[in-house]
Amino acid sequence: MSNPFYLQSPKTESAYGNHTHRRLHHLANPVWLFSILALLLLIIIWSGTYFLVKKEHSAVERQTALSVGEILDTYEARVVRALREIDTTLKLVRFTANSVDSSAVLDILQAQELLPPALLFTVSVVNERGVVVESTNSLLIEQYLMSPMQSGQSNDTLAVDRVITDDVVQLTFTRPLMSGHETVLGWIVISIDADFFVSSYAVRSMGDQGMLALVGDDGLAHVVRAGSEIYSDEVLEGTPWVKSKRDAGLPLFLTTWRGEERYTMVRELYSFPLSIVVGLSKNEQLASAQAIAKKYWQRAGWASGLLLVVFTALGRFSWKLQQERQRVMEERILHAEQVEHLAFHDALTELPNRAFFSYLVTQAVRLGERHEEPFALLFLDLDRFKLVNDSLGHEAGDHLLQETAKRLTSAVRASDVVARLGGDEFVIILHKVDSQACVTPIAEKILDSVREPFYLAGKECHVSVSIGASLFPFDGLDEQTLIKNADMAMYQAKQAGKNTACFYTTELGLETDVRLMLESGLQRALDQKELKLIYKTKHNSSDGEVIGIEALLRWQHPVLGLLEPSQFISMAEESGLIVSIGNWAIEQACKQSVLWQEQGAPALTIAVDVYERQFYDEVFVKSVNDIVAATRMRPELLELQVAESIVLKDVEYTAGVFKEIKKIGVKIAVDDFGMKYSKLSSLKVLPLDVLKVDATLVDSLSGTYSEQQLSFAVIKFGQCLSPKVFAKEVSPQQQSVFMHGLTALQFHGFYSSETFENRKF
Amino acid sequence: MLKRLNMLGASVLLSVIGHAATADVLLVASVEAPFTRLASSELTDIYLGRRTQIGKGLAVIPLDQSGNSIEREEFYTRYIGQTPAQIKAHWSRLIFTGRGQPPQTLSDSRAVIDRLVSDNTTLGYINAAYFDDRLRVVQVE
Repeated sequence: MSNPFYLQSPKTESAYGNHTHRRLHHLANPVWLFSILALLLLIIIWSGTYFLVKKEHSAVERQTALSVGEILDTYEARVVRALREIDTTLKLVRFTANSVDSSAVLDILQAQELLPPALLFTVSVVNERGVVVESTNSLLIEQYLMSPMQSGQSNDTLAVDRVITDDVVQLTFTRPLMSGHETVLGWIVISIDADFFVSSYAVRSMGDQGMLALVGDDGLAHVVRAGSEIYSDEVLEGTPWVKSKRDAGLPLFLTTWRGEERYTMVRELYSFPLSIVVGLSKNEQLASAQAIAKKYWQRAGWASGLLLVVFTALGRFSWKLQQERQRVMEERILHAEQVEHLAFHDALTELPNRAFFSYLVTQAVRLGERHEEPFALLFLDLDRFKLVNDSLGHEAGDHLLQETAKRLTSAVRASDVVARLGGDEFVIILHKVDSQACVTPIAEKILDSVREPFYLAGKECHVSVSIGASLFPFDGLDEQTLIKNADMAMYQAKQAGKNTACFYTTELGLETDVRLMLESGLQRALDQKELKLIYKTKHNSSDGEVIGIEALLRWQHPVLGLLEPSQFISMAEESGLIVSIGNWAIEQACKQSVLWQEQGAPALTIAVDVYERQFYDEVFVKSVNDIVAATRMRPELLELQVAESIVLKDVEYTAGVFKEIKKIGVKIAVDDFGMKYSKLSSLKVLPLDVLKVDATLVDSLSGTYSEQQLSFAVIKFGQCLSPKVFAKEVSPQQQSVFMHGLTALQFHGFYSSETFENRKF
Repeated sequence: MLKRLNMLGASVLLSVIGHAATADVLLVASVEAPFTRLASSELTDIYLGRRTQIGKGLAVIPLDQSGNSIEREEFYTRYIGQTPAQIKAHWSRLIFTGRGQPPQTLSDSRAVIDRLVSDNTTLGYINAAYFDDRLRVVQVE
């Protein structure tokens, strides 16, 4: 038997391997793998795009800062030049007024083309009362023109004011007209549309939402041009507008004015009470960058989409592949597990099978040796299984076995092992059990549970079990011995009437050894002619005359000596050898009879036993016929003795056989008459020659009066059925009883206990 | 020539009927001026300061009238195709950015005629009422 442990070990290994395998699988799982890879690529794509966009953005910002700076420089130069021209004109007018004694100063200068274009610039001379005395715009003469700020101003500075006339914003530049450095005689005023200072706005360089502004030192804008709109008197919010210092690094501010975000620079003008502001719309400047960014983001989106599609497809494909592989793997494992299970378990009852049980017992033995733990081994065999199987069918038989397995399992402790060896044989290991006293209650419990009726194929069915028990270490130290001994004990239980439990004993062992020796020796006995017949004479009860011979079977065993049929016939019946043995006996008896006849002996009947299987063998009659023919035996001298129990087993068959045998001319005797009273009536239909009274009835003759009367009655009854009635093993005392009752019962005879072999008598 | 004058006269008449408040304006130069006709674009360019010469290096100096005269408004509207406000903005930008100076401004048609007669490289516009033999109407094509 192979070692189940070795076979089992792959299972534990595979379980462990499976675990680590799974963990590896998780890492190599395509879903994870592709997800992580896709995520990485997505991160690269989007961070790369973000980086590019950022770079583009900052490049544009840098470019914008440069642009704003350049525009600011240009604007500053133009404003300063315009202011210088204005200031120069003011000074020129004053100088001319002071040096020329004329009231037509402006005309003089105009004639010399020293005044700025009258189209834009209006130069006026105002007297100390604020009345225009002279102007390039003749409409202003005699008008009152005094900018509020100029009243009372006497120091020689260039004053800048905002004047709004008829919705037109004008800037006025004023210097006092003084004689010497004391008295203010009036003022020289140059006025110009505020628009002039933002007329350099160019859409080409500044866009549609750029900004130019000229801011006074009060923080209010003299004029602001934002796109195509021109505003005045506006407060430009935020500190940078006013506080920004000239040459202070000129940072670029992001400002919001009238809903437009602009990159803005502010510069305070040197020597003029003015600041200039240049702004470029953030949206416009970043439009290109944003367009590019949008393109980048779109591309990133497309790339991501494509990537996801590709990776999803790949991942899905790979996942399916892996699933398939895993499924195959799992199927294989499952299959292996099933195979393993099948190898070690009984398919019908799911109990451990013989191989596994053998391993378990071996283990129990090893553990028992190591820890000195005793255990018991029970060997069980269902008593009527064959009957159930035959009468109710195999399905019911299988069901019975399954049900039995359940009952057995529930009858013992969970730690105990119930196994099925095959057929209707079960075995149980009871752990940590050290005496018969411990086993008995468990055995009782098992017997009780099996005794409960089974319901098979819709019928209530009663089954019992025979149990044999052996104990480790008392009844054996190895698996085979323990099982063998338990088996013997079980056999003993069967012998003892079934439905019981027996324990193995040394005596039982010996007995069984003998039995085994007989079993194994029978065939040999037949072949080697160890069997022989001995003969007994039959005597008439009235005068003691020899009326026949009875042949008796014996086995001259080389070791055990001379054996009686009772010691080996049952075994021969079981093995079927009885047919050959029985025929041999008949043949031998015939030969002997013929021999005696030839030697001149009187023609006496010779009686030979016929056994059950021999009798029910279908060629029995033919065999008898052949033997009679072959030995040239006179058939009427051969008497076949059939036990009453055999005869009554199937009366119809028996009647048929008896009839055939009568045809041959062979006589028939019923042996052991009177054992089965209930069926005695059946005997009357049989053509009998002789009845042999059962030994118990003969024994009763020496018993009480009533027992004697019963025996007489049966014998009398036998007389009615058969022309001859015999009793056997009759003692002299009993003989006298027969003698006594002879007149009344008219016995025909009896026979003595003398025996002889094939000697001449 | 006369025919043309008549045509001009007719157009002047028409415009007088159409716009009672407007003056009849003529683009004129001295009879001795080296040019007798100008392309419309040349005229516009000269008055908007985009060029100072016509043909092959023939210098032409434009003359303007003072800002609030009727002739001026008429001239710019009809000959240049722009309003005085647009002209002002134009010169504003040019002066501010330092790219030019507007034409010399004279007080009225009379002053323009005096100047035209004294300098035959000049070009000007006058009220038709002041037209005389010293002048020649410059054809605009």
